Amino acid sequence: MPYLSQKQTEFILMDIRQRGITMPELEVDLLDFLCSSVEQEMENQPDFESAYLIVLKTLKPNELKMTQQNIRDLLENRVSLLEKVTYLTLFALLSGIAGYLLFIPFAGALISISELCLIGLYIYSNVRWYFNPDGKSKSQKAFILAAVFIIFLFIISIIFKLYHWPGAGYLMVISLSILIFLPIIISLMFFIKADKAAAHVLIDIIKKNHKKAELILFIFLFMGFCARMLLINFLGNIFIITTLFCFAILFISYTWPVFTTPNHKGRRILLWIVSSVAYSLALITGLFKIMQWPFPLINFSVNLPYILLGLMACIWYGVEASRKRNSQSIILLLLSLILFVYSLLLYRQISTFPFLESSVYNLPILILFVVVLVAFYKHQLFRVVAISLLGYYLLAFPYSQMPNKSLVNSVYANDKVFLELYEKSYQNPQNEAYMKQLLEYNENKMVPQN
Amino acid sequence: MNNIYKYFFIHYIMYSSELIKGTLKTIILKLLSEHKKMYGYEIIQSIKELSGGKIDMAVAAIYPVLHKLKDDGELTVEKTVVGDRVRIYYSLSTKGSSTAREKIIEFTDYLSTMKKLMDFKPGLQSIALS
Repeated sequence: MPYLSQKQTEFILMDIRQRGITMPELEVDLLDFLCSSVEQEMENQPDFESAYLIVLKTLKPNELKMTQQNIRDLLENRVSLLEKVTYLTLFALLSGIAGYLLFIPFAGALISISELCLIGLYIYSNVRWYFNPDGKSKSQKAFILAAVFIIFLFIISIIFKLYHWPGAGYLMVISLSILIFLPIIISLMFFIKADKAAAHVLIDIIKKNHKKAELILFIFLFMGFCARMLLINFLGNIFIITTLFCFAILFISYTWPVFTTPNHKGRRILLWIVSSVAYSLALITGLFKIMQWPFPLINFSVNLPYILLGLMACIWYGVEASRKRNSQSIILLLLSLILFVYSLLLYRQISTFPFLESSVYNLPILILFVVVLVAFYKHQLFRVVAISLLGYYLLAFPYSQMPNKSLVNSVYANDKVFLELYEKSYQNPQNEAYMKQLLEYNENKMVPQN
Repeated sequence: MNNIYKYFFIHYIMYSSELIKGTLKTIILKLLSEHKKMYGYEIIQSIKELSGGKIDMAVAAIYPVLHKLKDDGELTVEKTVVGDRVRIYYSLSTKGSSTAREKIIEFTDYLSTMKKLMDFKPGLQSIALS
């Protein structure tokens, strides 16, 4: 029996996707089914196109889509015990947070326990998957073990942090660093190996649950934001850690099509590189901010993720607009350009608009950001990067309340005491004492000295 | 599930949907218990061949059942590269093997009961004679 060429296989794959098949496992099944049918048919009819048309005629209209719908109906009606426990734990977590804000006793303990339970559930599902007698490759097994190990490190570091034991900072840095770089390394590893046979089981699981993951991400982001605004540091840190973890998972799952879609591979690789840089930068700067490490460049890089997002959007919609030439893609390209130029202006501090001096300067960029986010919503990869950047923005918000640093440095260049006090309050924005000292010093300076 | 049965009703008019209902899982488990591993196309062709062309399984019927069995832990999968594509082979897990045995025994017993009922049904014979 003749095997189909790579071009013919890709043609069938594209056709399957155009018919609305989005489940990766089913896609593999249907591709093999159609290819096998065509190969069988080609024994009588050597012409590929005619053979493919004959095979398609044996299928009913929308049969492929109906198959997908039937699978969804069968699989999604059941809520597993694990899911129920997860929802219960999430409920306990939310109750704990509400209790914490209302000063109800033992709320903190409830938060810690439910957080640990959530992590435990993740480990349990991973371990169960590891021992499930499916045909798993060595790389998959290694991935599961690595994931379990990182989560184990998380638990330890959170416990150390909560009880103020020495070494908590190092543990957290190690586990966070692995979280930041592991997704990129793994996706690069798969790309180099181009291991087509490597089962996409984990990716499928994530893809199947990506809506839930995004929902959890939004909830945690919001809570992290609230906790930081209310200056509840340890709670904010826990949320941030969970959020970073969700980002990592979504990042792998969304960048996966880069290696599996044969069409536009060059463009997708470029996109992957740019988004990886944006992702890493947002997370690294976020990590520096959270840990309050001194690094002057971080203070200037607040707008850098926006610049990268704008650049990504420009590249993407530039290609789209030149290909499609419709009004929608041109409008999106213009929006991306505005975002890019505006964030570039802010970064270079070229603009002399008065609102740059206060935190209000964030408002226009936030509006633009939301517009671009809505426009990008259909592209999953952009969505996760956009969400990461939004998260970064929210988490870094308390820091943006400070006056513009370079402006202060130039205006108060001769006043060393003021600059020293300003530097202290800039590095520790949550410590109100520094800000008070700064304001008092400034007020005293205004009083005429007789 | 209803969609699958409706689909059966439309496409397998030679056997009513009531007859087919509930047998597909057993057919697949039986086939897999006789073979070490099989892929989707192979299962469809085997059923067609063994039934003398009377049962021509549709894609929309076979794959949902295969995925459900896999999700329930009855089947395990193995991916192999064939040409320029990946082929998923399905085989029985330990749990699936015992389910297959139970289903086959249950179905064989059901068939013999039905045979008895059809052979010795005086009421029906009298209706047919009248």
